[in-house]
Amino acid sequence: MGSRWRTSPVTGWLAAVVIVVVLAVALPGFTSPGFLTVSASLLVTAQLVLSVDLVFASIKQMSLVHAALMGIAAYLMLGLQSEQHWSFWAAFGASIVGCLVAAAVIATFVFRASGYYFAILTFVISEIIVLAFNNLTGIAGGSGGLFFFTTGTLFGLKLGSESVIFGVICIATLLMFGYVWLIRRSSLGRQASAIGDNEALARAVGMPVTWTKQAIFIASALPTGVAGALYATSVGAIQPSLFDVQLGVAAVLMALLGGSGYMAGPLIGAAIYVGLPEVIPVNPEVGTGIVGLLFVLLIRVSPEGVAAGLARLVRLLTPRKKPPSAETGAMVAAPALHQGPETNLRGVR
Amino acid sequence: MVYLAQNLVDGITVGAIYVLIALSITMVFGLTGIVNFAVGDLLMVAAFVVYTLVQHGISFYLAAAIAVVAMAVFGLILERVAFRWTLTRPENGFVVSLGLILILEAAAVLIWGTTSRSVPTPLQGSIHAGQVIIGTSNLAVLGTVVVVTSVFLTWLSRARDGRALRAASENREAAQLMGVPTVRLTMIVFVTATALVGLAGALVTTYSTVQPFMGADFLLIAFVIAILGGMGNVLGTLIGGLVVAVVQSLAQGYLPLQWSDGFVFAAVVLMLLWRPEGLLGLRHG
Repeated sequence: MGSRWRTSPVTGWLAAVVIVVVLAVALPGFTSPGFLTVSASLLVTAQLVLSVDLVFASIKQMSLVHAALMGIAAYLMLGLQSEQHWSFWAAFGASIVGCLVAAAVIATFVFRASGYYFAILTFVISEIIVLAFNNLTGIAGGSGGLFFFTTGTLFGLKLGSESVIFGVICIATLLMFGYVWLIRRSSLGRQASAIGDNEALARAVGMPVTWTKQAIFIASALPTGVAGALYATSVGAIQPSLFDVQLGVAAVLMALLGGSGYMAGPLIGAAIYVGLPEVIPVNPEVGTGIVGLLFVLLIRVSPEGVAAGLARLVRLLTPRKKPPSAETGAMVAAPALHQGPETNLRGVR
Repeated sequence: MVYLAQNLVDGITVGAIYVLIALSITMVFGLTGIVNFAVGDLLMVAAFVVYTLVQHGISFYLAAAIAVVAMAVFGLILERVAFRWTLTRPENGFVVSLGLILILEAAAVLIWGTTSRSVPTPLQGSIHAGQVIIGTSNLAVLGTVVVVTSVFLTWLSRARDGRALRAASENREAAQLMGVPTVRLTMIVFVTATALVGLAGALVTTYSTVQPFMGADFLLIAFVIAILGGMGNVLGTLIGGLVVAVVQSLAQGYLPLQWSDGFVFAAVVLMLLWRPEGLLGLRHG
């Protein structure tokens, strides 16, 4: 898999279309709490997948600890409000900072390993964090978890309302996609991409490889923290099992299924994983089996993920521009030839 | 001391079963680069096959043998239908294995329901070594695993296919250019790996109940063992299994029960920080 970011206009439009479809599906459901709950869960999951994919598509490392990081943010969000009586916004800020700090601590040592060893290291760290949620009964409520329904407000609107928090999640999702898009275009994103392409070469030309990996890992924790804080607020009750390694593995699965490196990938992956079982009109067991079968079939049809398949389809359906005729071509080519030597010699001077 | 010895006996027995699963993981990964997360659920299917056959009056030993053969055939089908096309993109093999988990668990719930079931085994009774009690089932499990892994290691080092497999695991393309039939080897690896998981599934029924979601319990520790040993390294897997079994026994014996898994995980983290490529893995510059 090439590690260059797939930021073509086609995928950007696909991302926008998926967001609009999600909103269009959810908006009529303001009277249907079930629909809103699923849509909110889908968007929050998409943020988690976005974080995981930022690490996977750039530096080619499969992080399984992001679900636990999301758990840290969620626990801080509810714990600080219910136990310490912090305001919604103070707890929101603290939970994101807490998530970033946890990511920074993990980043200090986790990059000693790479590849599948990195994955298993993050797997085990995730288990340790969830074990702490389970056993620190005084702070995290043990296996029963925490519950608190927020009383915070935004422009006079109660954040405890399902429709208001859904709106906040929609805006946060758009902001986080914008944030990741900016990271990808930044020098950090480009360096990370170069390291993912060829780490030995990047090291040889003097790139700060470990620092870049750590920075991209910490940067990826921002959407995770936002997702954790907003998820906790939307559901009001959390347990350790919600953030175990199964969610971490599922996030990687959604990233691969949606199309790693595509901006639309996390949304598509989350829509299939979270949304599909809700709309298949069969009993849950059969529905789960069908979703599993769909995973296999979708990845068979489009090995680079669904977003890649859709992008290919769009390219096929888009009429191509006719090649210029000989006369026009010569006229167009002339200025290029004139400018050519200056451009081509830029690196040799 | 007796308490420690008793914990070690029980821990090493369970560790032996984990080794079979870890061998399956490491074999498939070594040759194909595919991380097969579905091994836990393949184990669950094998355990249910044994349960069903025993329920129909077939002896436990015959049921276990049938389960191993059935799983080998299932492995062949999986390789042909689900995994062969992912060889060029092993990360897609990972996605396929996760899809398989959902399919197998859904099928198991539909066929057998969610109730935990136990298999009546003929392996009752125990022997006493001093004050340490060793169950007949412990001995049977350990004996079977020792015999199977010995045969497997001999096959790897002596048989033509075994040596070809080791060569292809080192460098698949180079081995292919040297005339090693990698397609046939991939088939052999999947069949052998699934048969090993089938055997593990049959052995698990001697001390554990069977239910559709039991696979996840075995998956984590088996992966830890495979990674500790160095993915693709069979000898390392055996050592990794022993290390994890001992650490787990110590943790369960001397730490508060709720933190015993945490001790194992912390040990794994420290070991991976010390040897980032596993105990017997190669360091790449």
